[in-house]
Amino acid sequence: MPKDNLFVGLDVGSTKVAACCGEIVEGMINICGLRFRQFPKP
Amino acid sequence: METISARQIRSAVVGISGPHITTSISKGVVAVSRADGEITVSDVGRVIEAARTVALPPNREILHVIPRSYVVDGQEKIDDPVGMTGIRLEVEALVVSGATSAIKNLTKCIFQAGLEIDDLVFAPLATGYTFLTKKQKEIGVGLLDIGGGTTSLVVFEEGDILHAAVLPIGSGLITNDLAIGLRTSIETAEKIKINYASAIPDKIRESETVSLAQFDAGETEKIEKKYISEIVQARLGEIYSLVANELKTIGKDGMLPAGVVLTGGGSKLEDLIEATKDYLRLPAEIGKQNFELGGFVDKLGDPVYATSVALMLYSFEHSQSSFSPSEPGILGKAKGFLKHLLP
Ligand SMILES: Nc1ncnc2c1ncn2[C@@H]1O[C@H](COP(=O)(O)OP(=O)(O)O)[C@@H](O)[C@H]1O
Ligand SMILES: [Mg+2]
Repeated sequence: MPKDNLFVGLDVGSTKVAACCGEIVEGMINICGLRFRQFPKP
Repeated sequence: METISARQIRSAVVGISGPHITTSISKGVVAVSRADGEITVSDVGRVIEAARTVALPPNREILHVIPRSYVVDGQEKIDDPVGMTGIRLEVEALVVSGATSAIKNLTKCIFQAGLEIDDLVFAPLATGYTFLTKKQKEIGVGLLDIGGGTTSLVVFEEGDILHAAVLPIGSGLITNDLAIGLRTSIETAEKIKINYASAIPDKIRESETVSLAQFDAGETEKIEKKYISEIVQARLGEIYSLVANELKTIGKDGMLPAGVVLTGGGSKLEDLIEATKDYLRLPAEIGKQNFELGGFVDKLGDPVYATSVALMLYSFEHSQSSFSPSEPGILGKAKGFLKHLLP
């Protein structure tokens, strides 16, 4: 369980890693970050 | 990530996937503990734990034990046995396991990045929980995530997970085929795929061409758009025949009333929805998450983010269920899963 009001999903895919951060603002989940980065090609 | 959210990230729900992930069915049996025979949450926890003691090879680890249905004194197909009376409680569960080495490598990477892991989740499962509606899962639906190196499939029916598989083939192979077939670099092939390829060659007129000069100043060649899509179609046909085979193993080939829901970058290919309907003889749509969300919502419809959004929502859902002090440990976890399946 997250220690604070911040929920993070980390998707380690086959070609990239994507992260999504959400926080609760006024009873609603607010997306405060959405990013992805391609893995360097081997 | 920390800079855009302006917050320090300490921990995350981490998604794991890959062809090393497999599923199997396991059964657990326990005697109901209370003298009056009333089944409690603790009995349910114990029976799920019993299903977990499945014989796995030493190089594999269990990621999830998902209860599908319970049996109370021989009475089958019970969704929630808590409160019922009986002597013998059985569960049939789907066990999702992965290669120990792959799990260790991933967790090590995360720890080295200075993050703690709240939960390690088979990624397509989290996507299935948040991107499929209760109704879809009830009548039968497949979640198909077309990634770069893999394509994963999770099938739900009667609210339960029926099957999951990760195929070692993805949209990256389409790019490779284009690079070979058109004799271009991988980078150019990727741009051609994203900007000019269609999943259905018949949609393209013979006369349409793409000039390679726009990608590479040294090139003068013009390529027929139809030819591009024919290359794409060949590989897509292979991906879909593997998907159809998976569906066949569970008797669901062409037999999922709610069809397939697509996620992953590969699902952005032009005309893919129509091609999916043709190949699988099923309804098809791009996945949308079902929560009301605020903030950076404009990018949320992008299938590239589907899994990360689903994992974030999974984190949220699980924090909600584990706040309750009466559901500690594995019980809380089992409940969390139940909450998704039987809201
Ligand atoms: N607009 C697009 N059209 C076709 N394919 C795309 C598009 N955008 C991304 N892709 C493909 O999606 C794949 C990456 O998908 P993604 O879900 O991010 O992969 P993974 O999760 O496996 O790392 C790549 O092969 C990429 O070429
Ligand atoms: Mg992915």
